[in-house]
Amino acid sequence: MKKLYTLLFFSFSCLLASAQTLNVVQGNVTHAYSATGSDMTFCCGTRVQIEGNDYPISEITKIVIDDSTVTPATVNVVYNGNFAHVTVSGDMVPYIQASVNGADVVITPSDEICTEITYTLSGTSSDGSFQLGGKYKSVVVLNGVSLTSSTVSPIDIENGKRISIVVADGTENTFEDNANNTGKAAFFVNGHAEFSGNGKITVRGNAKHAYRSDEYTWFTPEFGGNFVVDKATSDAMHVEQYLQVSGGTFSLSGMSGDGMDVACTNEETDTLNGHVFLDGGTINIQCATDDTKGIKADSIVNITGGSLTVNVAGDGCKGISSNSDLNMSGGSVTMTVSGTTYHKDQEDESKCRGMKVGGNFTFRGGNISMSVTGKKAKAIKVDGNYYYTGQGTMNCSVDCDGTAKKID
Amino acid sequence: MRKITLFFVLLIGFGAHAQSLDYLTIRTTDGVEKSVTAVGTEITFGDGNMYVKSGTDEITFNFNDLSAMFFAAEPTGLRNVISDQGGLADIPAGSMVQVFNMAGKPVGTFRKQAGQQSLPAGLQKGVYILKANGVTFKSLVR
Repeated sequence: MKKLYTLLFFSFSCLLASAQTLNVVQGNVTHAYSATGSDMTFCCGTRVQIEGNDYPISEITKIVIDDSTVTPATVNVVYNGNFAHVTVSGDMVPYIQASVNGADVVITPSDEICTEITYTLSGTSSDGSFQLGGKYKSVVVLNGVSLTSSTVSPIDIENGKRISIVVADGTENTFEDNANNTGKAAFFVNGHAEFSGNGKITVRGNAKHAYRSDEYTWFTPEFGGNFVVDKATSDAMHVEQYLQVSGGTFSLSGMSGDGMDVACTNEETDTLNGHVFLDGGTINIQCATDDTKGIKADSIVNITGGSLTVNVAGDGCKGISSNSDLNMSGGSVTMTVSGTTYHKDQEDESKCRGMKVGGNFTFRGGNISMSVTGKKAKAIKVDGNYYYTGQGTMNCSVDCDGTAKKID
Repeated sequence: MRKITLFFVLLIGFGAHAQSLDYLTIRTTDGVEKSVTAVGTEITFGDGNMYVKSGTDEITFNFNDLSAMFFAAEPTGLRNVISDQGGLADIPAGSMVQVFNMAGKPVGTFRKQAGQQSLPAGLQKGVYILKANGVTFKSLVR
């Protein structure tokens, strides 16, 4: 009870005391300081020092005082056509370098930072981008931001740590690159991405992948939003290390490559390398390009929940392709397999499959529904053994090269 | 329930006393301080000067004369305007004027009338601080 009173006391006090913020505007970058009684000292006819930060007067556009509240450890980026404006909270001024060139924003945090900073993006630009460096975990909030870039990846997060990506409730966020983009994807995360929020994100990759992460990507149970890819020159989603889908609604189509391609990294110490985990969410993939996969995994595919629907229409396509085992104990998989053989009788001949398992297939539960109409197509093809418990439902047969065995 | 009610009453009382830093005070090298209402203030620089605009008030400082500026809960600086008209000349008609004695204690408020040239009757001779429209003045009652 004492803790409740204390919390209420401080919360109410903050509410009643009004706030003042001193904004030091330097071109397209503002440093926002909460008002304190400390002296801001002038020096030498040329400089002013504010909370230990030195400003040449010649570099100050203006100083504006308003009644906003500064949240510590925050950077806000607002895009508006050909321009962007960055606001850095005063406590982060010594540690953040913000460069704004038109609507291209580059944020370089100091290596000294040991505080999680929240970067909030909003607004629209038809030629803008956001690049984030740094070596400490961070939060990126997509708060109604739409970026198209004619030169680079609209979102390029070079930070190799944990990046929490919040797709703000009620917002729509769109990212599209240009065919000239030399980056890895229209939306790229060098580190490991964890998605949450209930907003919508749409990504289009005109150069290569729409979305890519070079370490794991996890759509957490707190992700109740929509992830849409309606165009990709390569994969809709290309993830290295592992992909886990625990929430969200996915619509992947218009790609020339795979829907979800999960590849091993080159780091032998990376855990769960090449794995796919489906334990929630609703995934819908249109696999129309010949010889592509709805979900491709370099290693094990684990399905314990959620719903996966794949339209396997292209010749030689696979709804799910695992280079190793596939384990299913829950969730539902629905596939329409209408494609036929790709490059028939040629060296790279590839047949159409609902599920292609390079190792063993273990079915302990869930529901599999296959509609197979393609010539020479099969519902489930297993290179290894097929293990089943008798639980779950399946409306098709399993073609396995090894043995089929009932297990406990 | 009674404890919670008492707690919120005390909290509101505390909140009423929690002070906002409503003023920006600028100190020059000669020790003189001038205050303006903080929110809405815009400061620019040019030609060796600092220009402070707050409401309808605009103040220019030579940059070489500046020492420091700070936020404060109360105005500690005064515009050094003492005129035979009791310091009211610069206050627009219709403005609400707060009157403080030199100790900072409020002694009353009034609305300035058109053509008003002196403070309301009843004030003893002396120097008073007038506050109106975010700017603070010093005024003399003879």
